[in-house]
Order: sequence, then structure tokens, then C-alpha cells
Amino acid sequence: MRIIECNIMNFGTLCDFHFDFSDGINRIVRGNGFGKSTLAAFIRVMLYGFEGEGKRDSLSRERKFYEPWQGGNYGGEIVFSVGEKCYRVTRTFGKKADTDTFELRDVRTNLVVNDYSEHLGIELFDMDSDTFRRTVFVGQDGVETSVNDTINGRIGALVDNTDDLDAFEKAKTSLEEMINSLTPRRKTGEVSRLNERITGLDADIMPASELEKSMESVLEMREKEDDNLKQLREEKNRLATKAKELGAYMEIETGKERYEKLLSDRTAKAEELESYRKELPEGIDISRIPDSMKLRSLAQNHVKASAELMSTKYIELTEREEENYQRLKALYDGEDPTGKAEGYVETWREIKEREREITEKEELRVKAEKEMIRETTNGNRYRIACLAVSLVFIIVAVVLFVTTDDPTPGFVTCAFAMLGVILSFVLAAPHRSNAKQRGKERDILKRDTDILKDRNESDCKEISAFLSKYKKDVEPDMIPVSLRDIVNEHEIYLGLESKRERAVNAAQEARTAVEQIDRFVSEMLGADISDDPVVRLQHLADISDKAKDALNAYDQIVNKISDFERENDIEAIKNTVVPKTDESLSDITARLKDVTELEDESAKRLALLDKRSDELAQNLDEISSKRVERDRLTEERNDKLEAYDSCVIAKEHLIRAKETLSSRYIKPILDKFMYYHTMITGQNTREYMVDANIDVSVKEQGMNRSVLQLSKGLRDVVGLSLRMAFIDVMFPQEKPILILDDPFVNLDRANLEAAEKLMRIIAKDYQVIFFAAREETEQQIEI
Amino acid sequence: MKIIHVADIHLDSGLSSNFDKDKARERKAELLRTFVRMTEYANDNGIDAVLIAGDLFDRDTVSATTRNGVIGAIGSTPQITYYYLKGNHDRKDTFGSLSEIPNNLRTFGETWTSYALSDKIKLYGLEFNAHNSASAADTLVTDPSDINIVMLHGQESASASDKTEVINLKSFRNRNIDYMALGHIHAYKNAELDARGRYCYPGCLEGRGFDESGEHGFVVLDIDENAHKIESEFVAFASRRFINAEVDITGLDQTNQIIKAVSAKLDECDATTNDCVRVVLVGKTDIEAEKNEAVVAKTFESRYCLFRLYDESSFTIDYESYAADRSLKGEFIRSVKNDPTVPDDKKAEAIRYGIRALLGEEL
Repeated sequence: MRIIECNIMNFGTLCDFHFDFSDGINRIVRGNGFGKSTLAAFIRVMLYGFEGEGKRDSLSRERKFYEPWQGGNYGGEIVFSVGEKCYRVTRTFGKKADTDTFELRDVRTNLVVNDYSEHLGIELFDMDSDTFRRTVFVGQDGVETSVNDTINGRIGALVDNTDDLDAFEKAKTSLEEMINSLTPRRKTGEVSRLNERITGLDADIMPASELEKSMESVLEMREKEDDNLKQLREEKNRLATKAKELGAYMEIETGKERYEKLLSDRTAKAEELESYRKELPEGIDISRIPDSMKLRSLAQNHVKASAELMSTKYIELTEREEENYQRLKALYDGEDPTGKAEGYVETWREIKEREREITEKEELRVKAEKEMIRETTNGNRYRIACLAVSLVFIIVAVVLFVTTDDPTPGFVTCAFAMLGVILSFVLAAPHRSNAKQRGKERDILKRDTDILKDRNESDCKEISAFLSKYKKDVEPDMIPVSLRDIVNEHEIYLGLESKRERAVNAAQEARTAVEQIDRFVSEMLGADISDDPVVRLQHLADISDKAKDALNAYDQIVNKISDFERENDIEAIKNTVVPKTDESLSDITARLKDVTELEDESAKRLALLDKRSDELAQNLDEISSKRVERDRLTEERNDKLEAYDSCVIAKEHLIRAKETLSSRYIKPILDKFMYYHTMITGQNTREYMVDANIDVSVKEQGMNRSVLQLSKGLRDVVGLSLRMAFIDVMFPQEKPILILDDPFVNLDRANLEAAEKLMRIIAKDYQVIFFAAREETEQQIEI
Repeated sequence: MKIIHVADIHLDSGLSSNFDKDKARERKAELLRTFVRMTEYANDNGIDAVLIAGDLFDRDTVSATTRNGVIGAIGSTPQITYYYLKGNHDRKDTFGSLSEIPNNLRTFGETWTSYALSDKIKLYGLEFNAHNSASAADTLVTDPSDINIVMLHGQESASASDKTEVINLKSFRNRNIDYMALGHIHAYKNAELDARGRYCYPGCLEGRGFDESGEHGFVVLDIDENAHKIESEFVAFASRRFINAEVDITGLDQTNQIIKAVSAKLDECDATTNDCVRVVLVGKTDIEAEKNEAVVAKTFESRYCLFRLYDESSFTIDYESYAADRSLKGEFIRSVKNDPTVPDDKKAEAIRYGIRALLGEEL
């Protein structure tokens, strides 16, 4: 690969800058501030893009560092060739990488091609930016170099597969991380942590044997208690059985006694009953005899009814009352004139009232008629007087008309005459009106009076008809009295009738009561009732309760005997003999109570032991879980420990393998290094060594010393020689460009000359872009 | 008559081997719940008797919850009679000290105890101790006209030389036994005892670990008394299964291929989300194979109730193929191989780590 030209639009201090490159060495010798390093950086950035994109420091962040000072488009282009093909790559840069542009054109066709991407440097040289800096790109004060994985891999061309060599560092780091994470040597290591947890669990498990002993002890106690409880239960059962047996015997014995007592009671009651029967009429059923209270009540009722029957004579009607009753019955039997009579009394009062009203109205009618006549008379008087005056005026008027020529007096007089006529009507009118009004009043009063008279006549007829039914020849003045008599007589009739009925009923009731009691006594005591029934009742009452009680008692005993015989085997009871025993039933019962208490206590103790064993079992369960956890962790710890050991072995052998492998290409690197070193220094006096890590050391005074102990100039010579050794080995075919940004500033004159000479030799195989600030360098080179 | 034959329920088992504390507690509750479900099943399916052939409890001390749960379940199905024979795990008489033992619970002792399940069906049971196991068969007296069921808890053995808690099957032959209801072995087994009878282990009711994988449940016996015939059927009843799956990853050199192989194997096992799964990777993979066990485990962890991955596979290293390899890897492998201080059994693992580091894989 070689660069043909570059065009910079804007990049750092460079603006609109163009440079054509040639094969071999390209010397760019300019003073400080021209932008030589910027140009070198431009080429690198065009190939690899910016470095330090993630850094905040603007000096470390290249994108910021090379931002055009003068503004404008940030970027440029490079024309380069690879083999037969020639390309133009154009890049512009924005504030961030995602705004950058990249374009690659084939120079011959000027068409955009995608033979390479924006990772141009990697694709062209098969190395990353870091490797580029460590080999072909020599920056100011950056001649010294060392290997990285890529260089290792590339110079390991002597081995079959360089990929795993590239991965060595990562693999080693990965194994170290694994070792560190697992290590039993540090507390943070997983094995240590697991050991710690296992120790903790061991401590937790420790009391297991104690707990197991406790458990055994509790189980032993429980077993004993269980046996004890069983024994107590057996004893309890034995006692209960015995008590039951004895109880059964006792029950039979009690039954026997009870049966005998019942039989004895039955005999006694039968005798008692017989004694009562003797006092009673033969054949009487004691159960049907009423109780004494009822019998006494019957006796009292008999006495009372007999007395009542006697006393009815005093409440019967007297002869006179009977006579009066019969008379009144003829008038009022089945009728009740009281309402009508009282109503007619009221009607009579109304008749009298209406008569008074008729009288008043008659008087008023006469008065009205008189008034009418007077008013009529008065009106006629006024009219006649006025008409008379008018007639006078008419006569005068006639006279005047006749007598005088002047008609005026005649007319005036006529007028007065007319006035008189008018006055006659005016003055008579009120009197005529009053007379008419009075006439009307008279007529109304007459009509009312006639109506009242008619009603009185009708009512009097009705009352007379009513009275005629009960009274004869009643004078009008006696009508109200007669009406009241009727009411009173009817009341007397009712009273007599009531009294008569009471007397009859009382006699009947008393008779019936006496007869009922007599009949009851007759039935109860049989046909012979010659004795006083009251005396018999009282005697019966005296013995009935006792007889009945005796009968009930007897019946009850008989029933009890019957029940007992039905429920029990009488023969067996009679034949059962209670066995003799050392313990009485009461002793056994007391003992049973004691055993039951002991059983309860034992059951409680057993429950407590169960609870305790439950707790212990739970603790043992937990310990068992912890033991399982401990075993699991131990297994895990052992696995991790094995993994740790394996990782330690793997790391150790990986390093050893890498060293073995590296040793294979140390000699070619050392040979190349010595070739270039000798070319620059012109001597081969120092003994250099390259180790498996391609670290160069120098043997001085019989000891290996780091090149860091050499002068800066010598270190640059070593760095340059090592870079060239790397490049030679890494690029056996297509040679890359070499970019050297003033690399020889630290060399002395002799070495500088040799270095310049070296550049010329290198330029035969490589395109070299060489930046220098010193004129003498250019001169020297040109020499 | 229909009878359930169940055994090895192991209530109150610790379960800490496979489960953490919380999950173990849940699983304990599941064991009890399954027992209760079984009684409900018996109730719903016209079962007349339940034979519990030992190890109802896992230990002598039974928690109150479990004790109450069992008594409650038995008590709530009064029409079913439960015949409980103690096993080697529950030697103590758990019910003996209770004040109220359900009326429908029958127990056995260290001498033969018999119950008439019907006129023709007789049940005999014996709890083994150090003295009675050897002579157990000799002391059993049965009526040949009956349907004779014998209930025992112990390890089956055909030879007579075994010790205590071992059922010498040979000695029980030709003893008029129609069905031996056994317990102790946690996997279902039904085999011929003699010309007349069979012996059967129903296995445990619920698996408790990966050593108790497969289907678990109980056996239902349908007995035709007139025909003198017993039909038995295994009923898978466990709420979860434990599945052991061995996956050969020979020739697979990528994690996703391994995941695919594990997935295929689990599909083959009909593993469901309810199951507890243990996968063991076996076979040999190339030393340079990309195999990440953590990724494999993570892929399946959320799919199952419990997932365990064990990598028991090994690496194949063809040292000859690296003999002339001048790469760093070749040099590394030779270096490890030729180091006499590294034990041979550790070389492959060390090489594996080195190569994975070189390949940039996560260690």
C-alpha cells in the first residue's frame, strides 16, 4: 500500500492543504508550527479514525484537538494504491462520530466502491490503531515500542494459529479473575466464603448429638410414661370391670330387696283398703267415689237447695198483686205502650203550644186589618183634599181666562190646579202602600192559623184514639195524666211479671238441685236411701280420700311389682347370691377415682413429653436440613476448589505454553533487531536479548539490564530497530507505509547519520513519510 | 368387597434432602393431604376397608397436625374400616396413648392378629420384631376355604438366610394365602407368591425424593367372594412425580444443543410443571465444546416444581491431534499433559478451563 496524495480541507492548523507523495522516502521538512504532526495525525485519522473518543479532556480527545482553527469543513481526502488498484478516500468529521462521513471511490472509474469500510487501517494492514502506533507510525518522542497481542500474533507467524496467541492476555486475565473469585486464600474468594458458611453450619450442627441424646431421653421417658399410662388404664379397666361386676351384684341385691319391700307394701295396702271397704256399702267402686271436697260440697249444696226451696214461698205474689197482675196482663200482655204514651204526652204539649200560637196570630191578624183600614182612610183624605184645592184653582183659572185677557194668570192657576192633582197622588201613595202591606200580613197570619188548627185537630183525634184503648171517657184536661197512667201501669205490670217468674224459677232450681243430689246419693249408696242424704254424704266424705289414697297406693305398688317383674328375671334374682369379696364397692370406686386422677396426670405428662419431643424433632429437622445444606455446600466447595486448582494449573501452563511458543520466534526477532540496530549504530558491541514477551534487555557488566536504563538516544535506536524488526516479520509480503514524525531528535550526530542512511535503505521496500524540523536533517538525508 | 392396600406414607418425613425449609413444609402438608384425599377416594368409590401396611408415619414422634389430620380423615369415613400395621419407621404405638381412637381403626400386634372382613375374607397381620420374623410363617394358621389376606411390613426375600424385617417369601408359600399386602419397598411390585396367591408392594403413596421416582399410589382390590377371586389394580394417586432423566450429550458441543436434548428427554418422560425433575448429563463431549451448565439449569428451573441438574459427563481429549499443533492451545495441552506434578484426573479439567479461557468463554 502506498499513499499518492492527500488533500486537507480543514484539520487542526492545516487548511486547504495539498501534498503529493512519491514512492520511497517523502521528506517533509518544515519549521515548528507548520503542522507536520497534524499532517501525520491526519493520515492516521484518515486510516483509523479518531482516538480518545470517550475522553472528556479536549487534549486527549483527538476530535476536539484537531477541530479546524479556522472553521469550515472538517476533513479531507487521501488517494492511495493497493496493488494495481487506486482509491480515493474522503472523510468529513462532525461533532460526534455518528455525524462523520466516509466515502471510497475507485480513482480510475470515480465510482463509489465498498472494497474497504471506515475501518480502513485495520482492513489494509490487518492491525489495529494501537499496533499501528507501535509499529509503522512513529510519533514525536514515541520511538520506543513494545509488543501487544496483535504484534505477538503477527510475529508468531512461525506458529500455526495466532488467534489463540492474540487471546493469551485475555485468557490469562480471565483465569486470574476466576482464580481470584474462587481463591481459598482470601476472604472474598468463593471457596473461603463457602468454608466460612460450612464452619457456621458445622457449629449449628454441633448440638445435634446433644439433641439426639435429649430426644432419646425424652423418648425413653415417653416410653416409660406410655407404659405407665397403659398400666394405669389397665388398672382402671380392671377396677371398672370389678366395680361393674360388684355393681351388678349390688344392683341385683338392691332389686331383690326392693321387690320384697314392694310385696310387703302391697299386703299392707290391701289390708288398709279392705278396712275402708268395710265402711262402705257393699259393691261400691272406691275409684268412682268423688273426693271429700266434692262430697262435702254436695252436702252443702243439698242443705242450701233445700233452704232455697223453702224460701221461695216468701217471694211469691200476694193475692192483691196477683189480681192486679191479671188485670194489667189483660191490658198489656204482649204490648208495650210506653213509647207511644210518652210520645203523645209530647204531642199534647205541642198542641197546647200551637193553641197559644193560634191565639197570638189571631190577635196580630186583627191588628193588621185595623192598620190597613186606617191607612186606606188616611190616604183617601189627602187625595180628596188636594183634588178639592185643584178644583178650586181650575175654577179660578176658568174665571181668569174668562175675565182677563191675559191668559197668564189663567195658566198659572191651571198650573196650581195641576200641582194639586199631583200632590193628591203623592201624598196618598204611602198610605195606600202601607194599607196593601198590612193586607198581605193579615192574609199570611190567617193562613198560618188555619194550618195550626188543622194539625191540632188531627193530633187530638190520634191521641183520643190511643187513649180509648186503655181509658174510657177521658176529659181533654185529663189527657196528659191518662197518658202517664198508662206508662206507670205498664211498668207495674212488668215488675209483677218479673217477681212472679223469679219465684217460680228459684223454686224450680232448688228442687232440681235437691233431686240431683238425692239421686247421686241414691246411686252412690245403692237403693237404700232411707237415711238423711246429707249425713251420708258427710260420712262418705270423711273416708273417701283415705280410701282412694289407699286404693291408689295399692295400685301403684301393684304396677311397680308388675314393672319390676317384667324388667327383671325374678327367678334369677331370687337365686342370685352375692359373692364375698375383699374389697367393697366403695373401696373399688375410691381406688378407681385415684387411678383416674393418676391417668389424667400421666396423660398430661405424656402430652408434655410429646410436645417436647415435637420441639426436639423440629430442632433435629432443622439440624438435618443444615446438615444437608452443609453437605451440599461442602460438595460445592470441593467443586469450586477443584475448579480453582484447575484454573491455577491452566493459568500456569498457559503462561508456560506461551513462553515456549514465544521462544520460537525470539531468534528471528532478535536477528532482525540486531540487523537494524547495527545498521544505525554501525557497531555490534552490545549484547541484546529478547525474552518470550519480546521485552528487550541489554547485557551490561555481565548482567541483564532494562533498556530503560540506557540513554534516550539509545532507547530510540532500540525502539526504531525493534519496530523495524516487528514490521519486517509482520509484513513479509505487502509492505505498509512508514510514517516517522521527527523520530531522530534524540540521536547524536553519528547515530543520526546512520539513521538517515537506514531510512534510505528502508525506502527501497517501503514508502516512508518522514517529518523533520531541522534543516540539517534534510541536508543530511539528501547527502 | 373393595379394599385399598396402601403403605409407606411416611407422614412427618423431614424431606430436607431435596427441598429447602419452606418447600419441605409444603411437601409435608402435601403428604398428609394425599392421605386425606385417599380416604375421600375410598369414601367416594365404595371401598369397604383400607389396609395400611406399615410406615404410616416416618418416625415415632408424630406432630399434632399430622396425628389430628389422620384421626380426622379416618373418623370422617366411619363406614370404612382401617387396618393399620406398624412398620419399621413407626414402631411406637402412636394411637395407643390417645384418649379417643376412631372406632373404625384396627391395629395389630407382635403376634398374629386376625380380622374377619366378611364371612369369607380374613385378614391376618403381624408386626415384626427381632424374634418373630423368622418364625412368622410357621405360626400363621389359615382356613383354606377362606380368602386369606396377610399383611406384613418388611423387605422381600426369597432366601431363608435373611435377617429381621425381612419377609421370607419362600416360607409363606402354600399357606393358603391369596394376597400378601406388603409394605416397606417404595416401588410398586405385584408378583406371584405360589400357585394360589400373589404378593404386592403398592410402593409409597407419594415420592419424597429422586430415589422414589415414577408413579406412586395404592392398590385397589376387588374381591369376588363367591368366585374366590381377587382383582387388583394400581391407582396412580401421588400429587407429584419425581423424574430422573439421564441425558447423553456425547457429540454435542453447544449449550443450546444440550438444552434441546434435555427438553426432548423430558418430553419423552411426560414431565409436567407439577413434577420434580432431576437431569443427569452423561456421555463425553469434546474438550473444546461450549457447555454452560448454569444456562441449562436456568432454562428448566422455572418449568418444574423442582429441577436439579448434575453434570456427570466427561471430556474427550485427543492428545495425538495436538501433538504437532504449534498453536498456543497445542502447546498448552502438551504442557499440561506432560506435567508429572498434575494428577491425571485433573488434567482434563485444567485443559478445559484453559481452552475455555482462550476461546473467551465464561468460566
